[in-house]
Amino acid sequence: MGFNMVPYSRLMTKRSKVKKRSSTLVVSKRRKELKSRGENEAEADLELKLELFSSMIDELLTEIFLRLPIDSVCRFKLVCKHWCSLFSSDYFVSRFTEYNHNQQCPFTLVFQYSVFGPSGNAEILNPIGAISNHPVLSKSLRNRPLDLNFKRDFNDNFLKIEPMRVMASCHDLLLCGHFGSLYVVNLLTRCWIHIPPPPIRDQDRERTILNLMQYPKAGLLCSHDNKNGDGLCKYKVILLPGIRSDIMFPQPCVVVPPEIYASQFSVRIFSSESRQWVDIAVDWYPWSLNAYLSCTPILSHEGKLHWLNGPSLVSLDANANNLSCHSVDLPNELSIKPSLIFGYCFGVCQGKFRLARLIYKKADGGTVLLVWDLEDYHKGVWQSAHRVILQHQPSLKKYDYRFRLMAFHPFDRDMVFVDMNGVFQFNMRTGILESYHQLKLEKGCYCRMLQRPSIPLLFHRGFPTAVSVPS
Amino acid sequence: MASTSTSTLSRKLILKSSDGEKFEVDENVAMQSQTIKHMIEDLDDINSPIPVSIVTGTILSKVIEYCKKHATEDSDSDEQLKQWDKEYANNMDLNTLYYLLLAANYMEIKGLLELITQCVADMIKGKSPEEIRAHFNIKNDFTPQEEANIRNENPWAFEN
Repeated sequence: MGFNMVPYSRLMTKRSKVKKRSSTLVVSKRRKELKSRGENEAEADLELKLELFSSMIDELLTEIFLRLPIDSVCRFKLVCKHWCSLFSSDYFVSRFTEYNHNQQCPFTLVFQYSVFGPSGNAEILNPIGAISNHPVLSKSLRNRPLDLNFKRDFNDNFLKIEPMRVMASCHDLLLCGHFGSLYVVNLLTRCWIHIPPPPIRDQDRERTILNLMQYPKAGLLCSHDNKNGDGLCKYKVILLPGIRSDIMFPQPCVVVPPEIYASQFSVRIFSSESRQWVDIAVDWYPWSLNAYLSCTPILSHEGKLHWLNGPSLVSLDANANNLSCHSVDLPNELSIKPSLIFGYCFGVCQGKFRLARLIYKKADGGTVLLVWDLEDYHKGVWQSAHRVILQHQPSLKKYDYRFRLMAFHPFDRDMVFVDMNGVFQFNMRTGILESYHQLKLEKGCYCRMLQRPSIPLLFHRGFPTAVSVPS
Repeated sequence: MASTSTSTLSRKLILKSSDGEKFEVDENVAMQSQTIKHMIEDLDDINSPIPVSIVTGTILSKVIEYCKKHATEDSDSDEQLKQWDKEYANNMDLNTLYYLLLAANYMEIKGLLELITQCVADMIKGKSPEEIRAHFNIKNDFTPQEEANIRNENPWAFEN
């Protein structure tokens, strides 16, 4: 093939001076050049071959770089100064973020489990596992429990008494708790930040020991484009009043704390800007708080926190001046009764809230998996997405038609992650069951995922969120 | 929509590459290129060859191959078309890809530009900075200290 083209370098210098920010396509008024350019063909340029990519116009390089995974982008900064400046430019960062916003991004499923020995006794309690389809994270996580021992001074015994708890997530950040302290962690960059325990209030005093043992309900909110001056992301941690297990399963002699039935409750909010905890009252509605239970997580979605409370889905806008809750009724079939708090799964699929429940239906002769999507949040319209009779699925026979729901696939409407001595992917449309992740277990041992407080998903979209400077 | 496509279907255009090769194509095939589309709007005589002056015949024939496939919309499912695109791009060496990229950019063929940029991105994404430099003959102009700083910014990206 001959290289008898117009030397591109000339076109380039001309064009790169005009910092054009056209949408997806780079081309401009070249059609006008078309005719006039024809004459210079003879200036064949062999250098062109050598310079291939180094000489390509920046916009074309940008078009290619947009499509790279984030680890390649960070790595290729090292190629040369020119590439580094391209990658570091505000223009590239905003284009990259925008491009990735419209793509399915890699995600990580974080879960906590217990390992039981052949005798049925728990042998290893609460290690944290994570499965990722992120190119870098997946390698570092392969078949290994997640190392969340970021505080070097933690000794193992300390973690044995009370393990680190996975609590919530927002974008690519994970919120963990340990002895009242909280940690916001970016698993990819391994940067984390410590949040001191909230001050103990009078009403907490009697229950401090219990509070430590139970898992407080916590949510995390952060924003990609809302950054502090130092380039670190702004975030908020929100604690809902803890619900004691004796409220869920009432004992005759226990006094129910007053806030449980009050028309107002207070949340405790820690914000990265003030680095302080503040208690803020939230207007509540007649449903008692007790039913929000610990059966479903607090999800962070579109800048708000969402959780299930009895017959409704409750949303809290923690950025508003006056905190108040908005609620949407659940479909009748899925309404949560305090006596039946297991077998639920709450999440987001293709941007819509999704709720599933395993329920025994006599008419169907067995357990049915019911999945509903919230089609219209403002009107509160739910739509049934799947209805699967487990006993009709040959793939589940081996497992005695039993599984535990873990999480919804965030992009594939047919997929759900289930726990059956390992993480499996179940296709609710075709009934196909596939192993997604096997934990390495000693012979005869089996494992069980902890459903509570939550099994969060992390989304690795664009550049990793910075919570602290790498040490 | 339907009426314009039937009326343009019968018209033929002649594209002339930088090395003088001529290609006769259906108008709806050539119209995938925004550049050509705008050119024929201004053209008085559509029978005269349209110069595509920075694209060689070899590359232009590949571009036309892509445009022909994508001009006949109904014949293939999205899935089949994607498969075709994949095979089309996989058959190119880096040199050809580079010139195709320039051609697609120059001729404003959005689909082809996206296909090729994705293909190049897939080719290079797993490589180390050293491999990239060797591959594209790029000189490392960092001092060791600068290099260390970049590594320390995102240590996770450099682990394998």
